[in-house]
Amino acid sequence: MSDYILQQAFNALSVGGEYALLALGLAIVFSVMNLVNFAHGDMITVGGYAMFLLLMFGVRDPLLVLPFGVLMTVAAALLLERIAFKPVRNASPTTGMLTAFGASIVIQNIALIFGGSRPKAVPTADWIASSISLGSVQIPIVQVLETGVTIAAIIGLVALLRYTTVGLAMRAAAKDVPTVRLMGIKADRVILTAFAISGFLAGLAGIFILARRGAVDPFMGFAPVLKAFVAAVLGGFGSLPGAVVGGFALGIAEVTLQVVLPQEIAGFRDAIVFFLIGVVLVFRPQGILGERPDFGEKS
Amino acid sequence: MLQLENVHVSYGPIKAVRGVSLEVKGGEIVALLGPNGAGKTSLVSSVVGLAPTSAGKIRLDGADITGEPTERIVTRGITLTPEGRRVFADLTVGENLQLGAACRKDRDGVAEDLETYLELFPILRKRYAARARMLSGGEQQMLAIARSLMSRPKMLMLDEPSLGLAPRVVDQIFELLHGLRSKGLTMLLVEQNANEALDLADSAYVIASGSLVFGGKAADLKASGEVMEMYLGLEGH
Repeated sequence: MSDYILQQAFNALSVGGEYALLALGLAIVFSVMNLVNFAHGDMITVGGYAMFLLLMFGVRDPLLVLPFGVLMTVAAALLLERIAFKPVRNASPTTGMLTAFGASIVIQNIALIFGGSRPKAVPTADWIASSISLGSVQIPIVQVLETGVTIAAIIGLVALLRYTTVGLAMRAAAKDVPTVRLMGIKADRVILTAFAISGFLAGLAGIFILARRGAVDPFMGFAPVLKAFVAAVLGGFGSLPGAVVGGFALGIAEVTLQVVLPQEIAGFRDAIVFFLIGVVLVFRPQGILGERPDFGEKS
Repeated sequence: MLQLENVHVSYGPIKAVRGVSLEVKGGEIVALLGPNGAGKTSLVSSVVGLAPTSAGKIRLDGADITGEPTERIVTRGITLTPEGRRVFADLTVGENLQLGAACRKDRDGVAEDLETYLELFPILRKRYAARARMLSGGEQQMLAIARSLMSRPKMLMLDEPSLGLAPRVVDQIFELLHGLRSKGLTMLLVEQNANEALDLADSAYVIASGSLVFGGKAADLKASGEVMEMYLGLEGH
């Protein structure tokens, strides 16, 4: 029994880690430019298809395929910023959100036209499907890697935000862009960096999404990012620690319910999770770590 | 050093500044005075590109900087300590100062300046690791000024540095500005506190409803009872 709990604990951490990576990406873009990037999931799709294509061309070495996937996800994020979001940077948040939906539809349809709507199997290496033994417990290696990568990415991000000038500028820009520009810092560079980071985190998450599903399809990024959005709201939208906490809280809640719910009502898992989140938000509308908006302050 | 020629600032249909011309010479302190809503903040914001200049020319050392992006203007050597201080509240004092020097490449010079200003503002050394939001209003104002100076500007514009501060703290801030003046820093000072500002300044301009109503020596303005009384609500001397 305790073996089973340990297994499920790792499962919860890895699911939570995936949500945390994606929620962080959403939050970092939102914090510097007040944009809810609903095309975030489609960046994962781009990365997924990029890895799929490379595998189709016979490149099997994971040391080539995986970095290529991440790189293409970052490239997709930067291109999205340049082509779609930069022209509407000073427009209202609603315009930005609609632009994101538009970009999402465009990417999904490009994938539909060239790839078709049916999922395409991606051959994953054997080692990624294997497990490691922890005493008597078998833990899938994907889960171990995903948890580890998430923790490493969070540590790296914290270091970047604390110790580099561009990181400090991003934290400052989350509250006051004009004053950041008064420091002689290019707003453009701060925004591009935010998109690059969000793309990088999405690329990492994308690898694990692909490893679990074993297939690519045009809508593969949609569901995970919807969950990540919920996680970000739960943690406090725009708050980076909130995104991490919200991601793990959602992952843990999902897996816990999966374990404890009797078979007959297991299908209602998501409904119960969302109900619980609703209850949390009734009592803490700003999310777990979100700040209440300051009223009466000049912005 | 800085020349404004017939500058207009409009926000859509609202005209905040209607054709102001003024000049700040190198090494000079200029006070920009006027009642609330006269357009003082709009005018200095337009110099650094944070408010839209709808007509007119702004020149820095002869180069036309009208309409340039803020970050480029700042790297040319002019900066603004904005109204309301606008320190980065969630960042530490040290991080605020580090961002102030973000546009500079000379690491040694930055370290040197940091030491200079921590010497000049001892409270900032004492509270170096504290978040800026924990500082008092006066301390935040000192941080905002030190942060501006970290970019090693040729010219500093200050927008209402004494706003909302206790009289004792206002005196401290002006003492500091006198200190900066003796180092030869060129300054444009926007103030409500006309008497203190005129003691510091070499020349002064008064704007009301977006237009200049006085321009000349600070001493002449102090002597002109009419302008002082009408626009600044003060008895002339």
